[in-house]
Amino acid sequence: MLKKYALSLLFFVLFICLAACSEDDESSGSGDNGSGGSGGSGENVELTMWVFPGMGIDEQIERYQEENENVTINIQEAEYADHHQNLLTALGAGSGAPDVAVVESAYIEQFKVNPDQFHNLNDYGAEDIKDDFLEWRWREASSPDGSFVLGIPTDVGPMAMAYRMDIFEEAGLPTDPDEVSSQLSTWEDYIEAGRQIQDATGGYMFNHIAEIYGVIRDQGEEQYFDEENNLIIEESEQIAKAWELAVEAIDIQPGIERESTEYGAALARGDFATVFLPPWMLQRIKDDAPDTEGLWNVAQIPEASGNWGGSLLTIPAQSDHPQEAYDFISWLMAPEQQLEIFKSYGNFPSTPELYDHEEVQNYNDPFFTRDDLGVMFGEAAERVEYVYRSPDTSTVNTIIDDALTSIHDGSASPEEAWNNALEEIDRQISR
Amino acid sequence: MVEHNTVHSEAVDNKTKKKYRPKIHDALSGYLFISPFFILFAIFGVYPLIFTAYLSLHKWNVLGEREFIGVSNYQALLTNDPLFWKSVGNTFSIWVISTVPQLILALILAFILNQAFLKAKGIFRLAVFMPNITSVVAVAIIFSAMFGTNYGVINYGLTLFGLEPYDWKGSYLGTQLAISAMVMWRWVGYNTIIYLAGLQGISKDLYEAATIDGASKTQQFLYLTIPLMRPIILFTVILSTIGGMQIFAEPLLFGRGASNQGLTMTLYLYEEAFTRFSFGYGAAIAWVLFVIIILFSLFNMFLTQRIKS
Amino acid sequence: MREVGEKKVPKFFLYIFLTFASIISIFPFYWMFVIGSNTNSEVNKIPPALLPGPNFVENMQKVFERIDFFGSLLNSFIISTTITIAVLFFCSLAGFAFAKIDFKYKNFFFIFLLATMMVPPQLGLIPSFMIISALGWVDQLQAVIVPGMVNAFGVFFMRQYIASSIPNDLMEAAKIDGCGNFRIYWNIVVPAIKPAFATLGIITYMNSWNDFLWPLVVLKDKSSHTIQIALRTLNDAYTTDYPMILAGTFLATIPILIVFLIFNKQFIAGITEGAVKS
Repeated sequence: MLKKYALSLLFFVLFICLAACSEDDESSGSGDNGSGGSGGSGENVELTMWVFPGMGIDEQIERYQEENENVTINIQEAEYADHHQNLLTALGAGSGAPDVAVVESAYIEQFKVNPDQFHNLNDYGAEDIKDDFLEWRWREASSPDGSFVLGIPTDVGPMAMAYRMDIFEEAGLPTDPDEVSSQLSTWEDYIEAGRQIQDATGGYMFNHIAEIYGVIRDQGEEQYFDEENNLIIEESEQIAKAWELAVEAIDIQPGIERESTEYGAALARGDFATVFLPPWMLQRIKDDAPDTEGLWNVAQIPEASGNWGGSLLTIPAQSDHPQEAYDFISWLMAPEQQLEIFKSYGNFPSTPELYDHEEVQNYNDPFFTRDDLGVMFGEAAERVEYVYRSPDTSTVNTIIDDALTSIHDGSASPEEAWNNALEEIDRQISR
Repeated sequence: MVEHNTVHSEAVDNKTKKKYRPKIHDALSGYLFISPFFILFAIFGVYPLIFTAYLSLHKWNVLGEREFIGVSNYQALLTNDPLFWKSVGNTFSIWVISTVPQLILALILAFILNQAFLKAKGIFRLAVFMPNITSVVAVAIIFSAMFGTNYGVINYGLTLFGLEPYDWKGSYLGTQLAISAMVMWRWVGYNTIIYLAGLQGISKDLYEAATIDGASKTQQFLYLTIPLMRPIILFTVILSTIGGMQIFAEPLLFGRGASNQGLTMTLYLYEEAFTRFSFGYGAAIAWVLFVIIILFSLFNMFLTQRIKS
Repeated sequence: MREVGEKKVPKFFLYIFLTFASIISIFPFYWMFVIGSNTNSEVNKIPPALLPGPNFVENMQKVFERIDFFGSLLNSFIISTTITIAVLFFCSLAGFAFAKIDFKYKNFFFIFLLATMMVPPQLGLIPSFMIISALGWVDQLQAVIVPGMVNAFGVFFMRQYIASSIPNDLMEAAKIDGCGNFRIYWNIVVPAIKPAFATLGIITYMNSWNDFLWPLVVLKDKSSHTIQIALRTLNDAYTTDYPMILAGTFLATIPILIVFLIFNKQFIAGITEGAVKS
């Protein structure tokens, strides 16, 4: 009896495996006409596109469909983490991936090292539009030698620094942006100012130790890995610098993460005098702390800039309509459309020619006092340096962030935290 | 051992009702009645299991090539992964803090809610079950707001009593207590409802007889309710063992803490696979986890049998 | 708790205890409405807002603008209702077989069933997705419904309940009267286990209503979203509007509340009818 059951079970499993495999050959793309491939204009094509919320591209997609009647775009939205998990699942399972998928900058490296899973956009003409985009952003979207391009960049998140004028004044620091920039030109100056604020007001300089570490880390020319993916964390000067400064700054921060529910309350109460500020942060400050209107001003971050956020539009290899998909995404992220998206949603463009456009030049918000925010962010975007990152970079980042946080929690000394982190990094990147 | 155990439990079950009696013999309808579960499992459950076992012998980042590495994953997991053992420890300590009081409290609540004199039963029952209706996402937002170190409601309450605010997210005990509180809060009502259903199945005559014999409520609870509820209690013990070993949503949403003080086994498995893309290693964790859960469930089953007799 | 036993302690304390437990249970639900009816800045005040604010309708409108609230509510309703009906039937049937019918390898099958509950589900996502994809069920509700139609938990629960509440004599008597197994199930077991049905019903309904891990993998098209997935898309990548999310979540909880009340009625009906007497 049991044997019979086992046998039929076995057959069943075989059947399922076969079914799953045969599906691969047929390749379940979207769209009805499986002819796929190049050219393709004129035929009716449906493109499935996976996005996460808040990308601000709906109106432009609508326009594209009006102008290209043979193309239908089917937008499927999922929450940020869900979206990337779904993409991973569909690629891993070998079926079910869309024609266009957004990949956020935090995930770029992990997808980029598997070029087989995506169409190389250079094959469809990405070379021609390369110069429209910020150089560092394009390099992040490409393989180190530039032969493979994973995706077309959407917006970027160049960072400036917002600071509370009232707190700066109370501590005897300058409040004028230019003077702030010159007095806080290095991180040492920044920490010094933080101490001054703490002495004068008892308040903090910024929110969380891992955040200052991340900003300083991203300002260097190299991070944890060289381009052959050898771990160079112990040799990297920038990492050493970022770690040491972050540890030094531990008493001028309260340990409130930006994602935590407490962050809004802390912001509203004016717990920290500065906020590292990508453009998308403006709205958040206004929502969380509407009473602080007029108390803020914006200057550049000490030493260099940095980037936080932005995505790529990619075409998974499972798509049967790569050319149509490419035509669509290269149109969508062309400067004209990025300008429209910027006008409606404030997503900061990744095409530098727009930084001279009057819309960007005149972009400002009385909430933050100075009237040339657009110019500031444009400058910040062009100051960002390209850094090589490996697929294990985010794993290492998480471990280092945790190590720093554990120093703040008081559960490890800086030395212990660093050594433990190195051990854990070795273990995790070998899997 | 497995077989023996259940046979034993069957015998115990039947001792409570008169003596052992052969039940209906009818293999055909027996197999027919249980077949839906096994058919669905064959379609949707078997392949994932085999796939996971196969993966655990490979190094695979989901998107690239699979590389066969034999039992290296298991070897690394068992001999060179302090984080995994930490997650095992965390899971067990969170399980103890949350499950034991949870089941006891649920049993007492169910007993009270089953009393005939009680008014507004429906309202209390709804109230007690409310946490399970509330969506996990909302629960997580609310609990992390409540346990906030700087601006949490609980610390606010502590300061009102002149106490020092406590670092819930940064300390070992704090994080585990917060996660356990969340687990307990969500599942007490659930178990209460299950116990209540069990209590409904006990004949009222027995209680009446006991009352006439002069048994107090406590005596009734200890000598009547608990023995008669054995199958249901066993059920909840096993269920909360399995559930407790697989605690995932709460630490994920609350945050596992910088020293991984809230990292549970399933959360570790999930992060390994979906944030670090080490699916082979994750699969090895899954199988080790499976074995741990089976062993611990057997242990608890055994323990519950013991307590009965 | 000790109050229960000591005869002298007035019922008053029991009520106090129950009320206290109820308040703790309900508070987060209440607070969800408080945040959902305020603005972000109101929520960020210290001490935090403890009373409902005036912005609930406004927050709800934002939710309606961003997601197809009622469409996904309907999907959730279809999924949860179908699953619940199927689970109640299949699980009680199997539970009955495990509790009261003797057949070969019964213990083996039962242990096997228990073991399936112990498999950690997270890694099954990719292979399960392969199966659904091979069946062509992506973006179709049956991708969630069919795998959920019977579960080990329900079978286990029903077995335990039937074992403890249906006396064997009753079965014997029916057998002597010439009833087949299905007739015994239908005429004797089903009426006697109403409280179990109500319990398993509400638990199943609520689980499938609140589930998102599996649905979000297979239901990607907006038209097939369940309410939980739709609510998740309210969470932007870089910013979080808690009042809007919690207003939506609050409203999405109301339907299960109603379902609970329906089952609860059944449950109380079960009590008054009393259990099967031996």
